[in-house]
Amino acid sequence: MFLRRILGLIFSMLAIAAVAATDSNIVITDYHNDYYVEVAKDGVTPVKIKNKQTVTYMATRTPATAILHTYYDDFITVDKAKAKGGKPIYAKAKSAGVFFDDSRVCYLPVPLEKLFTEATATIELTIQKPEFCDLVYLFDIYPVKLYHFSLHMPVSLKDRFDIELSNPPAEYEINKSLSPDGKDYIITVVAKNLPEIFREEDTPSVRHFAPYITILGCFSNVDELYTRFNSYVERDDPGYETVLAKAKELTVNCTDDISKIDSIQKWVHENIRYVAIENGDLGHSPDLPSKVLEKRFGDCKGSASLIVGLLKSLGIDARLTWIGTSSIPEDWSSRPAFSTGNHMIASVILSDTILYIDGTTGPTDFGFIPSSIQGKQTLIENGDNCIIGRVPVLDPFENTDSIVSTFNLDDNMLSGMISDYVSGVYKAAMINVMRSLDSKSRDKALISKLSFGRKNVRLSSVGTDGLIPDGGKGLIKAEITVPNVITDAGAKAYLSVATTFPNLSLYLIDTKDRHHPATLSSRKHIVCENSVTLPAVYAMDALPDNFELNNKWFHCSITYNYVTDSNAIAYKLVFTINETEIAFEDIKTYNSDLKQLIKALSQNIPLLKQ
Amino acid sequence: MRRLITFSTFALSVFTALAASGPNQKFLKETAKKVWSMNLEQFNPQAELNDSMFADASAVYIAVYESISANMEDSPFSQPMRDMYIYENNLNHIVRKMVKINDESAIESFSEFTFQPLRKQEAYAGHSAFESEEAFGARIYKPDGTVVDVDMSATLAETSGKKGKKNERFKIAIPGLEVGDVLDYYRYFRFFFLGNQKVGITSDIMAKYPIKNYTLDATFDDRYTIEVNSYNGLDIPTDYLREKSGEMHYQLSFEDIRAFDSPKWFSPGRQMPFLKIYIIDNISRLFTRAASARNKGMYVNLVAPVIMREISEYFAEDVRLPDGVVRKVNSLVSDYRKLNPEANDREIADAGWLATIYTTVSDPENSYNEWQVASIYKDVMDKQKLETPVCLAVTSSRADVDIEKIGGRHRATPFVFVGEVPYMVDQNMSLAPGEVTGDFLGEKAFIFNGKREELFKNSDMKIGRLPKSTVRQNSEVRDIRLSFPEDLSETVNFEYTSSLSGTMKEVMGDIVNVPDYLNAVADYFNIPEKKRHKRKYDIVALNNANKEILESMVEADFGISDAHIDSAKLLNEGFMPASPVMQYSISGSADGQYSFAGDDIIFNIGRFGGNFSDYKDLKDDREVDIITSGPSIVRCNVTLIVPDDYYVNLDELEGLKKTVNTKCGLFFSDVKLSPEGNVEYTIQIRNPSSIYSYSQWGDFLAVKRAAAESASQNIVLHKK
Repeated sequence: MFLRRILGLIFSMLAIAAVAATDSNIVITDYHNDYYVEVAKDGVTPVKIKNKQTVTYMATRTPATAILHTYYDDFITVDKAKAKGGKPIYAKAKSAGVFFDDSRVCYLPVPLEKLFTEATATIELTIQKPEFCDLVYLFDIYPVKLYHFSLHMPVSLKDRFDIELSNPPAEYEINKSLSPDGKDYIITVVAKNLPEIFREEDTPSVRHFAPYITILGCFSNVDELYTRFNSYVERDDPGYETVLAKAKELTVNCTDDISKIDSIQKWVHENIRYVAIENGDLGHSPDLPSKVLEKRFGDCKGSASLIVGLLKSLGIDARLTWIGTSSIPEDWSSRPAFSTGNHMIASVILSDTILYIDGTTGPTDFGFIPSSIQGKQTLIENGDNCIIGRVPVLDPFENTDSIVSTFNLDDNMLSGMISDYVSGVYKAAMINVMRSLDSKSRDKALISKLSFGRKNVRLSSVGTDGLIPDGGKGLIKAEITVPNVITDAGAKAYLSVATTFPNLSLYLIDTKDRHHPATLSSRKHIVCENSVTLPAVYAMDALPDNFELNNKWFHCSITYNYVTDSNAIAYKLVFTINETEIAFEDIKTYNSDLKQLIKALSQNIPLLKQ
Repeated sequence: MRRLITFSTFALSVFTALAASGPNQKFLKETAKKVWSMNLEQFNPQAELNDSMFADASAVYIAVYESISANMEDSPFSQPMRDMYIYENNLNHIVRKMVKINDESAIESFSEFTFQPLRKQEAYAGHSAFESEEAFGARIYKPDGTVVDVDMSATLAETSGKKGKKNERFKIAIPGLEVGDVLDYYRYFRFFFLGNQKVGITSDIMAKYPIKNYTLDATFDDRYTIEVNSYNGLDIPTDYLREKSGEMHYQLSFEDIRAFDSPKWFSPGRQMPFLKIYIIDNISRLFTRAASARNKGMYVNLVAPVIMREISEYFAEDVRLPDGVVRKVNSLVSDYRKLNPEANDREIADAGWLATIYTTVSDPENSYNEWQVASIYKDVMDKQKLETPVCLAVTSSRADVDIEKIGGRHRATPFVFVGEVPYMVDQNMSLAPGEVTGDFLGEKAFIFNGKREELFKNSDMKIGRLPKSTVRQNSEVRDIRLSFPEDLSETVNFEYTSSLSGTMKEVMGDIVNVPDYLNAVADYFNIPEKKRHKRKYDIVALNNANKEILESMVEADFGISDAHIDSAKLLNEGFMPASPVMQYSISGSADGQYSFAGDDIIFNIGRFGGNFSDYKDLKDDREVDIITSGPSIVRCNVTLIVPDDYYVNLDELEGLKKTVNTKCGLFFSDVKLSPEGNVEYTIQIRNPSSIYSYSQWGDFLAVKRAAAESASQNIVLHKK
């Protein structure tokens, strides 16, 4: 979260997930967003950036009040906030998941009392640390007819500063030129007809599809950026002895480095709560290992710092590692900027590989890597020069949800046992959910997992086994009954087994008023193997056809078998998600394929009455 | 535990959060010294927690202690000056808790705290009319016996303001907290108030975790008026002690309080034990009138008439109406009577209510609270000189305490009785004049006789009740037509009309657009176009919001969350007296409602009988009474058009016929085939009462479970 400051600079405080076109009453007819880089006396060192936003609003249906807002903090000052009839409101900003930071927000109301009459608001900021000003979004909470971005700098910076436009809008133009007096170099972007912001479900982060500008130049390459990151790291820990003592205590029974790493990461995951305190430089500076050890809490940097500190005290080569989560599409090497990262993990340099440990996952199996950092480029500390690495992408089978149920059919009801074996993301989620709940709520959570939220499935005697880190596959088990499964039809009866399968409709993408791509939470593998023993009053009529479907996102199959000797039906679903990103134009196909599978799962099994 | 502190009398809406950069360290140190030196034997970290109620709890409060002390001192205004003499009041409220941490979830619950900075309102330069400040402190008892004081210098100050200097609140993360620890923490609230204000402190005696010992220890200057009210079976002493001259001392203590778990059909205000204490400076006179009608002293479970006396005085003296508003409303009603000379009192009363709402809602200059609306209506009705008596009244909803025990005006809901018909503000504007929301129906009310301005010192009041409603008055009738597309692609087409009366209209939330309401009322009064209200509304945005509400009804009505909606229309809004039934129609299609077995279709017709998903995981036992939203009846008439090449066997439909009739309601379902071979499925669910005893849970549950089970009923359509 340590780069939140930059993201928040221009961005709405809303959790923005997507852009959509609607018939907004308020429109921005003209948005001027101008940045001026100021340099030190040497003429080449940027010392601050001034920003001036001049925004012109218009109401089109009814008088209203528009809101211009901007974030600021200990490094950004609001020098001016002015609109006719509007008085700025300065408030504490709320950052999701952050216990404490210095982010504040200035709201500037802009009364629009007459229809189709423009009103202008101006906000001026000073950004004291230019490197924090590297991201400008080209949209607002209202539609923008005309957006002017400009970056002004002394001509001495001409070859150093530049911009990159990501997810360009349909209509835009970039110009780079000298000012008439030749003293300044100016880069401008003019964009037209930008839609406003709306939240949509299951979308990737806004940086995957909405237009934004990255200001490059504060760091000419990734090594310069690394040097800056490194300057935030305090190396001498006065509490080193306590860290060493703890490391020895935790590894007293360990015989090799791997078991020591396992023991330490497990202890940190179980004992260090995630609490983010990110005001000022704390947003970038990892807490000392001994401090985290004492407090038993920390943010991503704190837990990474403690893991590294504990391992290093034992002579194991562990390093702090900067990374951007999946919400950020860029790599460090292609875009060396603060806004390319937002997270810190620990790396352990082994003889043949690099082991990545995310300290914020809570208790999980050794080697678990959350989906949010898989495949992401890493910037690993390495003295004066960093190591550039990449987190491996795990196979979907690492995240397996394997359900085995055995039922007896009796009196219009299926009853039996369900066993759900979970690994990877499923296991991590369940362990952490169970830890977060009080004793009364845990059974409810387990029932919800086993029933997939279906209320017509009844579960009792719920229990777990191995739902602990490194305990192999976690098991959730229960007695299960599913009522009303038989539909009577004269000489035949139809057995419904749809609710004995996982509820895959949860993976459908909502297309209502949708304008942007979708993303699934992680690559995963679901297997459901069930058997139903029929009573003597029923005989098998005809099994439904087996089903198989493959596409770029998932592979799935359903197979049915009848075992004559035991008068039992065995059926199996396999559903593997290989690809999580779904382009907007592909959502219809994805949904259509998934609906075919859901339809196949709802096939009734015809039985003959005897 | 919820802690609610309220203030009244002074206009305290504008507080100043003082410029500062962190907590008042002196205050933190003083309060810590005071709290940690308390000799409270129940705060024993080694206390044995043997009772079964403590077993398996994520956390246990070993002790909860509340101390309240209030004293009164002379102020610069203390010298009597005409009718004014004002005291300075200092109130300290300490809440200290010791909690055993038994699992990780409890660590999450107790590891982060926030507390409030100093806030002030100035009476004049340099002198406060009001101050509030909070301190926090904590220490951890480790299982090995060590004690760690939480370092309060690690407190973080959240700030706002242009330069980031204004304290908003303080935050502290408890370091080093682990399972097995005992956390001892306190909140220390300091209040200062000048003159005749009223401070209310609420204490929930039950909490999310069980409590071994709860103790309250309160000491007050005996010049205060102290009201102590207990609710919902909380048994408290009625006497207080005078341990020394000039002081009133009140104590209570409870042992082994089980954890509180809020079930469905439960009203905390009526069913959860809690305590409310009001501390009133009733001696100071700022505006010639006391804050309370009570004399000094302590009143335990005060009888309602005294509080009602205050309310009547409030109606008479403190409800201020903008100039001309009564005249405007009265003019509309008079015009109505001219146009409708035969109108009876009920019709005039209804017109008066519409005129009142129209005038207040469309007033661009002023906004009105419900006390003002009731007062305007009462004044207008008095001017209209109806034969039917018109009385101001107050009540409380079933979500709150009974009106006889409200303890303060702000918890009452004002309305007007015209005869026995109540006229009450409906925030959703969907109820017709004379209709009130279900939570009020049948509830007790205090009724004030006489003109509004004469209510001051008027003791002519009586207890009455709002009318109870019948199931027929609150009905929903849904007529649903289902058909299959030609390609039988597992989608079912639906079109249905729903008609809602009485309190059933509440499910539609704020579906009624204000401009639609105003235009309809303007038409009702024949107000010429030029004289109509001038308020501007964003009609497109309102219509879009309405469309979303209507489209969401498919999920509310049938539990289908992903239906495709072709059309959704509000046919009648239901707020006008002549057409009080709200009606909407929706058409569209839904996937996944049927499946195939060979050539046959298995159709989930039960799904269209209603959305009963809330009834599916109800427990078999219950310990508290059942409070519902009131009597009602829901009837669904489903017609399934069977495709030409399919047929349905009537013999196979017997399972869809069911009747469960108990004292707590009725579930009835029936099915038949029409002459054309279509399926006609009917469901009816009746709830005859607002409240049932917990001993009737079995009867209540039987009806709900029958409804829940009906939702999974299938029928087979056989291929011809």
